[in-house]
Amino acid sequence: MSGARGRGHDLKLAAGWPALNHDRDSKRCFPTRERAPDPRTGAREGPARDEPRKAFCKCLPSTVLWRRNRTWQTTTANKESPMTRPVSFSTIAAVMLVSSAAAPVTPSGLYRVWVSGHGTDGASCGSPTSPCRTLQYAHDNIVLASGEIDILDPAGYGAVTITKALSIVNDGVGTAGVQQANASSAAITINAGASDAIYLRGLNIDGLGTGQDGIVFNSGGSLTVTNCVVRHFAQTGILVQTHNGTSLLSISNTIASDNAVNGIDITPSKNGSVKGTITGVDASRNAASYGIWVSGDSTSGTATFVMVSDSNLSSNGTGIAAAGAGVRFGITRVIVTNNSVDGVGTFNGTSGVPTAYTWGDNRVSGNTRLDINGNLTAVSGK
Amino acid sequence: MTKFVSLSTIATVMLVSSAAAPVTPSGLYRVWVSGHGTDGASCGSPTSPCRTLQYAHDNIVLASGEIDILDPAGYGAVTITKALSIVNDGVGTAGVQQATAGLAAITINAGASDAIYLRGLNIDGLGTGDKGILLNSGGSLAVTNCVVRHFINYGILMQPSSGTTLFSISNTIISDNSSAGIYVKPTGTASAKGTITGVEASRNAYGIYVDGSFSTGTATFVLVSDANASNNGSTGIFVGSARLAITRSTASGNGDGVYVNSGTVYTYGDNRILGNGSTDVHGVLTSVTGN
Repeated sequence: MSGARGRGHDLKLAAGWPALNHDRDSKRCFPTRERAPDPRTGAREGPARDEPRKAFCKCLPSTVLWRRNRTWQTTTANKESPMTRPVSFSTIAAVMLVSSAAAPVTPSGLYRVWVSGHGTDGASCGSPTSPCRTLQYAHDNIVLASGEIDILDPAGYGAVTITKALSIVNDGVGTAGVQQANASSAAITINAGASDAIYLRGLNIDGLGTGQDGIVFNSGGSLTVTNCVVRHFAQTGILVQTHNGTSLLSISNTIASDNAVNGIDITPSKNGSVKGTITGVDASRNAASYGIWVSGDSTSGTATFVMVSDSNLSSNGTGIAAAGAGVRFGITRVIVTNNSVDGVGTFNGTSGVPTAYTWGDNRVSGNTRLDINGNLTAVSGK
Repeated sequence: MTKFVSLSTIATVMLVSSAAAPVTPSGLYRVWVSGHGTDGASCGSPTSPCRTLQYAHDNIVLASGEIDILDPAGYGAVTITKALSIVNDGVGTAGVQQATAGLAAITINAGASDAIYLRGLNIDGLGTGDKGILLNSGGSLAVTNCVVRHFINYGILMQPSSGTTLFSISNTIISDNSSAGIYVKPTGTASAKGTITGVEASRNAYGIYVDGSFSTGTATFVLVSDANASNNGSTGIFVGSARLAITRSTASGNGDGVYVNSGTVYTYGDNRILGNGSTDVHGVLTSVTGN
């Protein structure tokens, strides 16, 4: 072989295998005479006479492809990777032949992945000229952690579960829809790591009156929702129920309306706390319960603080309310009207009464039972 | 549902059902319309969009679904009879024109709990159409990022006859209509409760006109914030037999700035009502303080 035989061929493995993008001069992957450690002995140097039978392809830093006799094998630092499976020579050869006709280099993942209504999900999707079709495929197969999925054109992109740091961005190309009609599912579910930042911009998230929740934030370091619409869910528009330390939350320029229960529900559990800001949000017509609800009753965490400004919390059950001694919130320049129960509530939950601050510049009037049910602590601007 | 059903009926239904095509979609929850689209039984995807709002409403979109605008075009007048969103998120002008006298561009005859949601539409009456948005019935109406202008009667008329209709009109221009820009007029036993925020209601006869006198319902309450109701021929904001609160709003260059015919108008003292031809405030504003 083999070094020579493979030279110049792009080595592309079948679906399910991490792509190999070894470079020497060409930045492409092909067998070389460089040696990787023998996986059995760890020896980096092999007898010179073995070289004709040993062609190495060093690929990802942790991945080595080697051939012994007629069998190609791979190894990787990650023992759980499919790369630990052996590959027959014939398979590799076939892949190499196929690949040499294909475009150069299958990326091992991208930091920017485009999705389009005209796209197709597949191993090589992601560029503006060959976009993917769905958020979930792009998340699962293409985009790297900390990367972003960008919307190329107006379309529905399907529900998605996010498990890593990720941005999903629509900067004004038209409607980027995420629908969920299933009564027991959320449109966007976030189960990310404790330090992962999740960023959602410009999405139109609709529950069609039957989907359970719009955005469910179960775990992650931070969640930012901006320029989004989250409406018409059978339960809650944005549900924050993180349970591990302090999670950060920012919701801005967003509509969370027409949900049957709550517009925004912040209820951390276990030892979770949430430090959040809600600015320029319309949380209206959430019929059964609250435009914004904050509860400290399910957590031992006491750091929850939610600042609400320049928002409209109208025609809900109650505009904004909280329970639990570990919770504090502030309202400024907020409109709270036409709620069928109360405007603002501070309720004695199982863990006590929250603290609510006002700058005296809110418009809380015209609510059916009470405009203020409980106590607001007046604070001054500085 | 407690009636007994004969076995033969069940069997017949099963036979009929099994003979039907298995996957003929009965409709979509998301239907795209495009200036390049074609109305037809299979339209609705981004790659095969429909052409008109009315066709999509009548034949494709399911109740509670949404019609989304794919590209700039005129999409025609539409009558809405179910829960529906029509959404243009910034692809360009999504036009809805109505040039026929006596007709509305968008008519809403929906169920008592149906939510209607309109975003990003450019609704124009060309100086001959009667009304921009006419709500006769519906649970709620949200109008945001729209333009409703140049009708010979009303820009937005809400005249439900029963129950309580919730509404929100935000970030919207309602101008150049020959009568009222926004006319809230519940009838029968109905009430209308809503917010008008960030709205320009100018160069109409009346910018905002809330009148509860046609209804026995007593819950009508409207909060107006960050609005500009100026240069209307008659009145910036007119209130009769209803309650309305205004904050951070402007009314100038009208005949009357705010006209309290009856009912109660609350002010937070932060409005700019000045330079109106007849009176800035006709009647009494009730001061309330922020909280």
